Amino acid sequence: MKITDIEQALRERPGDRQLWLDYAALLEERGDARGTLIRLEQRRDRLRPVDRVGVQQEIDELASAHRQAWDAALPDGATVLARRHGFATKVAVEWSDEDDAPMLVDRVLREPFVTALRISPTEDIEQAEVEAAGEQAWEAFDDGADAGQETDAPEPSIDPGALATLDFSRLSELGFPYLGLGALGAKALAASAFFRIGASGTGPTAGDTTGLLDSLDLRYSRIGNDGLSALAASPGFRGVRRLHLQHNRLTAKAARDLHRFTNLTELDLRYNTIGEEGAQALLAAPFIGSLRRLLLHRADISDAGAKLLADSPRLPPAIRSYWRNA
Amino acid sequence: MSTELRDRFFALSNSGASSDEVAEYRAEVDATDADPAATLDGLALHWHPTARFKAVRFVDAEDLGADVRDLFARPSREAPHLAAVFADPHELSFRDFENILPLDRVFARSESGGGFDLELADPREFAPGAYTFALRLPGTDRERLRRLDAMDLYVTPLNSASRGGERFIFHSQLLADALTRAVTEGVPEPLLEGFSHVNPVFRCNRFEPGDANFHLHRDTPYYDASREHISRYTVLIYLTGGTAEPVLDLAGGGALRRIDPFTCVVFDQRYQHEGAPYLDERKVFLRTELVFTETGLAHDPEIGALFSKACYLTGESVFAPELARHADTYYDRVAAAHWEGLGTGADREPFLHKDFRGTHFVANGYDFWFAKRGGISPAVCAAITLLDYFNCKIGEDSFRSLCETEAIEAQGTGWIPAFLQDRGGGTAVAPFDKSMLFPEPEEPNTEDMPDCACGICGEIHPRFDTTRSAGVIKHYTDAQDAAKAEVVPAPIVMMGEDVLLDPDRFVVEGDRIHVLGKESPSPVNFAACQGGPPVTPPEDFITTAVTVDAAHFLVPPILFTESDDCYHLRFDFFGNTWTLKHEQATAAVPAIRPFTMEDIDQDWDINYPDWDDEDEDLEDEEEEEEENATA
Repeated sequence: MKITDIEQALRERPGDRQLWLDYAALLEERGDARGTLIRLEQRRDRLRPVDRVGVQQEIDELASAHRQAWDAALPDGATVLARRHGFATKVAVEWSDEDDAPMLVDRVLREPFVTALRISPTEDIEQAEVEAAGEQAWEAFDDGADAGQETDAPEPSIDPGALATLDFSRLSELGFPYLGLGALGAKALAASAFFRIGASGTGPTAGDTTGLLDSLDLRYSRIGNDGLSALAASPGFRGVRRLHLQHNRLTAKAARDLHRFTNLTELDLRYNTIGEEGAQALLAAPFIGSLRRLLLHRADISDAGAKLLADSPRLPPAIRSYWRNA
Repeated sequence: MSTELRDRFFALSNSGASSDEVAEYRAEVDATDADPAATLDGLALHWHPTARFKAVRFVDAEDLGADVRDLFARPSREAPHLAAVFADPHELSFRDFENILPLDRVFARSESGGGFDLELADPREFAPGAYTFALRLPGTDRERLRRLDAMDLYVTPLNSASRGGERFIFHSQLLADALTRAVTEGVPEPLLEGFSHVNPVFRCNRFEPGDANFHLHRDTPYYDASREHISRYTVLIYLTGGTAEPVLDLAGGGALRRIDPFTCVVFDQRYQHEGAPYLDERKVFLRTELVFTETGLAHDPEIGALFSKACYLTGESVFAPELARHADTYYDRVAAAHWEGLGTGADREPFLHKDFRGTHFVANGYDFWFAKRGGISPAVCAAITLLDYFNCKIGEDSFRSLCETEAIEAQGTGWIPAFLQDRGGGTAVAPFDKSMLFPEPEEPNTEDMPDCACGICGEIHPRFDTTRSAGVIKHYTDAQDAAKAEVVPAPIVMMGEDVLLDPDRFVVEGDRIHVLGKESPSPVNFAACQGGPPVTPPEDFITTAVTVDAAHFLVPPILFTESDDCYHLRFDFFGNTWTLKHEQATAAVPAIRPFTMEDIDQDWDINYPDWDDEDEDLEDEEEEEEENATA
C-alpha cells in the first residue's frame, strides 16, 4: 500500500490502531520521529494512568525536540490547533493578502491529516471593516434609516472567486468565523463543493454525494439568506451536524432553508432577527427533535416566537424547559 | 391588616385566648395569601402567618434583608436579636425541622460576663444509673435561667401529636461549659469514665397543668462519628418545682413524684421514660446530654437505615399526620438499638407511594423503588431520590408538595415491583447539556467601550456590535464564570418548575451511584470615560437569558440494585464517615444585549450644557499653543 493510500485510510478511520502502526513503520524507515511517537502514544494509552508518567515524559521530550521540524511544511501564518501523533489535524489560517491567501490555505490542505480548518480575517481587515461599518451606519442614520437595521446587501470583503479554487471536500470541520464571505462567498463555496463532491463521490459511503463535513462555522460572515440558501442546497454542506450562524443577517426565510440540513444537532442562530415566523419555521424542521443545543435569544425571535418554542412538544424537553423560563 | 395579623398571633399565643378567638384567627390566616417576603437558607418566609406560611420560627434578624427586616416581629424582649418568621411547613426537611436558637448573646449581657457558676450537690441515686442533684447557683444565674421561660420562644414541635407541652431548642456554649465543670466535679466517678462534655444544645420544655404527658419514649442519643462521641446519659434541669403523677417515671426503674426547683436529674439513656405535667404549677425543664468519647464502636447499617426512615417519616408527617406515630416508633427502636442491638419491628411498615409528574416510586426514607419503565435511568432515580429526601425547592414549591402521595402500610417489600408495574414510569426529569447555557464569547474586534460617543473616540455608531466589544465580553465572561461556578457542578438544575439533570454528575459504578459534588467556586472578578455624550457602560449590556436554580449535594454513594422490573436505591445519609450537606443556589445565566441609540444620552446637550464651552476652551488652548510655537 502506498503511503498516501494509508494516509487517506487513516483520515477515514483515525481509530484504526493497527493501521497507525503500519504507518509508523513506514515513517521509521524514512527516519521520521513521528513513527516512534505513534508507538509511544499507543503504548501509553494501554497503560494504567499511574504507570503513564515515564512514557509521557518520553513523548513530551520527543515532541519538543521535533515539533518545529514537523511543522516546517506548514506555511507561515498557519497555527496548529490540534494534533494527532505529531501531525497537524486542526489548523487556523488568517486570510490576509488576496493573492497569497488561497495558496496558503491550499498548502495547509495538502498536509496529510488536516481535517479541520479555520480561516479568519487578519486584524487589519477586521479593523477596516469595523470602521467602514461605522461610517455606513452613521450615513444611514443621518439619512433617517432605522439605525439598528442593516439593510444594505451582504457584500463579501474577500474575493469569492479565490474561495472557489479551494478543495475543502476532505474536511470534517470548516470555519470562516468573522470573515466577510458575503452571499457571493457562500455561493462560491456551495458551487465549488457541488462540483467537487459530485465528481469524486467523497461522502461517507461509496457513491454518497453528501460531504464529510460535520461542523460548519459561519459566524459573523454576512452570508445573508441567499448565502445560506446556496449552502443548504449544496451536498457538500447538507450533512453538517453542528452549524454556527450567529450574526448573519438571516430572517425567517433562512429558518425555512435550514430544513435541508437534516442532520443538525447543534444550531447557533443568535443575533439573527428571524422573528416569530422564523421560530415557527424552525419548529417545522426535520431536525428539531434531535437538537441538543439550540442557541437563540428572545430578541431574535420576539416574545411570540419564544412562546412558540416554550409550548412546542416537538422540541426536546430540556430545550423546551429553557424557553419556558428564558 | 398584615401587621395586625402578625401582632395578633403573638397576642393570642401569650394570653389565654378562647377557642373561638383562636378559631376566628385561624380562619383569617387560612384566607390570607401572600408571596414570600424573604428567603433564608432556601426557606421561603413571611412576616405574618398566611395560609401557606404557618410554622413559626426564630432567626437572627441580621440574616434577614435590611429592606424587610423591620417587618418581622421581635416578640422576645429578652432576645431582641431574634426575629419571628413564618415558614411553609411543607418546605421543611430534616435539615431545618429543628430551630436551634443561639442564646449565648443573651446570656453574655449579664453582669458576670455570660459565664455560669454551677455546682451539682447532694447526689442521690433513685434508680440504677439515675441520680438527682441539687443545682447550686448564684441568684443572678438562677434568674437568668428562669428568664428562659419568659422569652416566649416556644414553637410547636413536628411530633406535637405524640407529646404534650411546648418547647424550644437553643444553643449555649456558656451554659454547657459551666455544666461540664459541674458534672466533672459533682457526678459520681463511675459515671464519668470517658466523659467529654455536656452537649451545648438544650431543649427547653414547658407543660401547663392539664397538658398531655410526654409519652413513654427513649431519648435519641447524640452521635458525632468524626469525634467518636456518643451520649450515654440524659440531663434534665428542672427550673420550676412541683408535684406530678409522676414528674418522671423511668420504666422498670424509679420514679420521681415531687421535684424542687433547680433539681438536676441524670439518668442512663437506656431507660424508657415519661413525665406528667405538675398538678398545680407550670413545669419548665431543660434537657441535654452527657457526651462521652467512645472508641471501637460497632456499626450496624440497619440502625442507620431505620434512623433515615424515622427522619423521612417526620417530614412526611406534615402531609400525613398519622405517620408521626411510625416515626416515633422508629426513633425509639433506633435509640434502643444503640444499647441493645436492633430488635424486631412490627410486621407491617409504612411506605409512601409518590407520583412526581408521572414518575411513580415507592419510598420508606431509606429504600426507594422505581419501575424500569419509560426509559428511566439510574441517574434519574437518584435525582428524584435526592429531590425527595432533601425536599428541594422546585420553582415556588417544595418537591414533596408537588408529589401526589399516598401512605401504604404493608408487610415486606415483595409487593412493590408488581405495584409499580401497574403505574407510569415516565421521566419527569430530563437530561440537560448545561453547555447550552454558556455559549463561548465571541472574539473581540473593538477595544473597551469608548467613554463617550464623540468623534475622536469614534467607535460608537448606530450598529455598534456589543457582542464583539472587548469591554462587554469581559463583563459577559465574568458573569458567565459566576453563573458557571454554581450551575456547572450541580447534578440537578431547576429552570422555573422544570427539573433537569446533568447525566455527567451521576456516575454509576457497580452497585453505587456517585453524585458528584461541588468544588470550591473559583474567585470571580468584576471590573469597572469623558468628552462627548456618555455611553452606557459595558456591564449594562449584560442581561439575564434565564435564571437557573442549582441543587448541590455532598452525599455518600447511593447503593443501587436492579431486577428485571425495578431499580432499588438505598441511602444511608447518616452513615458514619460522611458529612452531609445540601444547598441550593440561584444563578442568572448572562446574555449580551445589542446596542441601541438609546444607549447614547440623547439629552446630552441639556445634561452637559458646558460642553460647547469646554470644546471652545480646548480650541482656544490649541490655537494659543500653535501661536506660541510659531513665535
